[in-house]
Amino acid sequence: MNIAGDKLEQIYERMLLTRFFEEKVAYLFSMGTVHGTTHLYVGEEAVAAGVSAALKSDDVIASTHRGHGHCISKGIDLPRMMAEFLGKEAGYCKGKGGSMHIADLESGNLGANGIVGGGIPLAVGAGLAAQMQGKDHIVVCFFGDGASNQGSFHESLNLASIWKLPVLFVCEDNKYGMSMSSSRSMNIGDISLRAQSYGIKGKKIDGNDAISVYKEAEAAREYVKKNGPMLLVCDTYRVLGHSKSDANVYRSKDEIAQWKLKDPIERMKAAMLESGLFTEDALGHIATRAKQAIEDALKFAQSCVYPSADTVCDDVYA
Amino acid sequence: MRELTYAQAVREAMTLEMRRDENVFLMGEDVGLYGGAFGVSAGMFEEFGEARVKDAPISEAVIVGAAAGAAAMGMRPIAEIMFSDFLTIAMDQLVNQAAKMRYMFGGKASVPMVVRTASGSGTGAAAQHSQSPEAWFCNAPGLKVVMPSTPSDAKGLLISAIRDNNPVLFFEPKMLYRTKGHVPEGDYTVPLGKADIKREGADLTIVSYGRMLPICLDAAVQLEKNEGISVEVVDPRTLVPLDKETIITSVAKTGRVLIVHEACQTGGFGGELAAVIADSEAFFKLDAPIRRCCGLDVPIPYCPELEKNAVPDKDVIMENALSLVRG
Amino acid sequence: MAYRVIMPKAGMMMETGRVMRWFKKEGEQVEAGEALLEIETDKTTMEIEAGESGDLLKIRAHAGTVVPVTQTIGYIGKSGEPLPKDEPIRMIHEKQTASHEWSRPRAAMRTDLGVMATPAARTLARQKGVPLSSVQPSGSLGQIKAADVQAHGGNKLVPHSAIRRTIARRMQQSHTDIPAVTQHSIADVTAMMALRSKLNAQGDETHLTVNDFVVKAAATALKEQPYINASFSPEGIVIKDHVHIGIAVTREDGLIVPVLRDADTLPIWQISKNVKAFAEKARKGRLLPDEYTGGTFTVSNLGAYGVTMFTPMINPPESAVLGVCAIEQRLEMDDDGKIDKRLKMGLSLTYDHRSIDGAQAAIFTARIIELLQAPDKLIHEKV
Repeated sequence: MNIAGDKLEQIYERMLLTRFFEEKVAYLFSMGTVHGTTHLYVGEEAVAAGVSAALKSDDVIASTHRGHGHCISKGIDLPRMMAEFLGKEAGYCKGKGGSMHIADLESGNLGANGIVGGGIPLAVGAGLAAQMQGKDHIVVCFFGDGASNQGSFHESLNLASIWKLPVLFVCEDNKYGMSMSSSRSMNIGDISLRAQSYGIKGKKIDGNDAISVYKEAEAAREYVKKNGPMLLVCDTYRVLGHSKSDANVYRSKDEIAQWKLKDPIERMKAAMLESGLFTEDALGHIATRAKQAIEDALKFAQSCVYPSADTVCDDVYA
Repeated sequence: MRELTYAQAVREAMTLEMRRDENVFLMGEDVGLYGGAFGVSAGMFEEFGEARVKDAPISEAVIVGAAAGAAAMGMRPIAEIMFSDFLTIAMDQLVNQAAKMRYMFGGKASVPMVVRTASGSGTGAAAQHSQSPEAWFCNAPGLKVVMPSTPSDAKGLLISAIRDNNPVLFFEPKMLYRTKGHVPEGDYTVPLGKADIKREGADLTIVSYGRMLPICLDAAVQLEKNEGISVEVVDPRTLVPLDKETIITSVAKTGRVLIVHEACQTGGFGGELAAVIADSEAFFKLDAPIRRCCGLDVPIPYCPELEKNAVPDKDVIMENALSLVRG
Repeated sequence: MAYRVIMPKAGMMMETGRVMRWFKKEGEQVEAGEALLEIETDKTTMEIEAGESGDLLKIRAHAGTVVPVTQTIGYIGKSGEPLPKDEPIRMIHEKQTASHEWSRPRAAMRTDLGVMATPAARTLARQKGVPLSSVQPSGSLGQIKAADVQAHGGNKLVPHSAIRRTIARRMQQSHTDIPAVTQHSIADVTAMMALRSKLNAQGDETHLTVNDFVVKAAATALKEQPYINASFSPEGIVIKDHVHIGIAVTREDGLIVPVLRDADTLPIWQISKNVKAFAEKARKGRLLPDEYTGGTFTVSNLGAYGVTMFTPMINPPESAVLGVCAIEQRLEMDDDGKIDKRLKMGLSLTYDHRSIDGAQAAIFTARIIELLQAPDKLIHEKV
């Protein structure tokens, strides 16, 4: 396999953190203790964890409305993320952003985005800044199959291609916009073909194979640094609905069951055992640690205060 | 003092700032080789090269969005949207992303960008190239909105806008591009959020901005000469944030106010001005209704005679002024 | 080369004309003298005849267009003939009057909503304890305005005219900014009045006034005493290089001060003529801005009203003003006990004590008095 044990552990841990975070969030929603809505990443963990494992600390990411996985894998502080999720003052955005707008510009996270395709031009801008500032890092832009139909996607790839911006466009093709399957929403079966329209390289990979994602992302990163933008399409699937109010009427239980068999966490677990570097016990420990981290984050978040009413007008302008 | 056109003043502001701060750059359609659709950036490509004067494809959304992303990462972009009507294509990036980012991220981001755009009718460009849509953007907290009426204001306000750490939407009424005025040399700023009393008077306040402002000044001169009416003309210059105090003080002084802008009257910024005045101390000094004399509620027609009819002119402004003072 | 049909200048003031209709189509034949098209000028519609025979080769300005006079609007010639190279036609787009209902003032107001009074009127009424129903409205739509409440009970509010506002502002400024002192002196004008009568009886158009003598004397004295012909500024005293004397003229709506430029270079006859011309213009409201600005000193004469002494106000940015009072008869006894009838005229000089001291002022007035008391010199220019 040629991947160091600590790298494998990092990927696995992040996948677990993401899974447990999402499960916790789903639970909190079912208990009626959380405001608004959220979009869960369950079943897609390999993409965020695998890609992020290939990034350097000063690389920048732009995320989507389904962005908890990206944030966790970029190395966000979990307690503060949970606090933001609950709308508490100690949250990343002082409670002003919530699930869909969690961001941490200091650590290179341009933020989750409530507009489908809304973050893609921003990522291009970050790439432009890196180029103009003579910086060495790249920008990774996550978005879904639905976003690849937005005008902003096409404008962004075009501009990045002509100016050779260091942007890795990562499409998480989870087969559905909200209820519309990608087979109905576009006339092509392979989104990576869209790269050709912009004269850039496009590649489609198994998005549920974390190790494969990691390797491809590493290679992609090197490629982007030398050659400019690239489109990496990761085949994956979201096991839960689009959002909390999704009754899944647009897909069959069979389909969901089929994809559950390809669960990325199970596959990663198997690969780590196969590598001979990890025992079941060791993996169990990692899982326990991850669960505990989520519990600790939740305890912290629950103990925090809400922002005072006076802060409602703060931070509109710089 | 030398005279420059409005367009030259805008160019000078951009050039001076780009020389002073390497993070400032210009991006937009035809701004580089072509020198800008209205010639505003002529010569800048030659001075700064394509690294800092960037020709973009016809992609308003990513022009504004990339500017926002670059700004969030420390650059100070000036994005040009050729006609203000095209802002609609970039609405999401401007209103949902750039304007809201700082607030959504709890003050952890700032987006120091300027979006410059040519607005307004009068050139026969018809409905989709002639709108003055500034009112829409006054309802998006996080954005600042500026519309200068003179070359010297344009230069000073643009320099301030570039130095401001917020997204600023900078409207340049295209009919004013060729107008001339005294413009100081070198570095100077006109503060955002500060109105300017362009003419002092005692009988009536006219609040106007953009293309209508010089027409209101002409009307004021004629009203004084022919009718002995003394008109005070106040130019807010910045719509958001609005200098309410100057406007209220003026209306309280004269007791009468006429609001004039070329944008359509219904839902136009004049309504906001009227409400600000009505709910202030000036209310108790009003000796005539607060009146608006603004563009007709129509898309701008093509035929030149009709196009002229769609916005106020000196005669209708004077007629309204007289009726407020004498009626 | 084809013949040009132009928009004719059919009137001295005509600048543009509108093409109403062509009587011929492109390609049609036309005879010289035949009606070719109809135009509308600023005054009327008229028919234009073809200047030559031939084909109407081309129409440049079609019906409805407005073009400047002398522009080429068509060509007559032989088919296939080359057309002259003309500038592209410049069409004038005039705005037609439309009825923008809501950007024109209203014609009427609803009458079913109670008393209509402006907020300012209401505030005033409340303050004065006046019931609005008892106030007579003067608004064209029947509304009560503040002035109506003011007028209620006999007071009358006269709104400021532009000139009154200007005078109020300038006099306020003069009063606040300048530490002014007035010196009163008396000139013996017996000889001056005698000389004046003699000159005015000469039968030519000469009609010298008392003021003409004063202005001449003042102009001379100003040239000799530059510190009076100056302005105070924080950096120093600005000594003017010309003597421009403002001569106050009373009008119904306020005082106006036309300026006699380079008064020191003018003989008294010229002063007299110019002042009369100015006064006439001033009374008719025809003075140009050049003619009432730029003064360095002012003379204000209230003698006609019997004023014997007053404290005229300085016109900023000047430093002094000379008030001229009524001429009175006085009986004087000389050292020998002889009694004589003398004519005496008061002079009130107000000066800016920041730049002019009492002695300087006194010397200046004394010089004027000296000149007035030896009036021959004023006439014969040897002073």
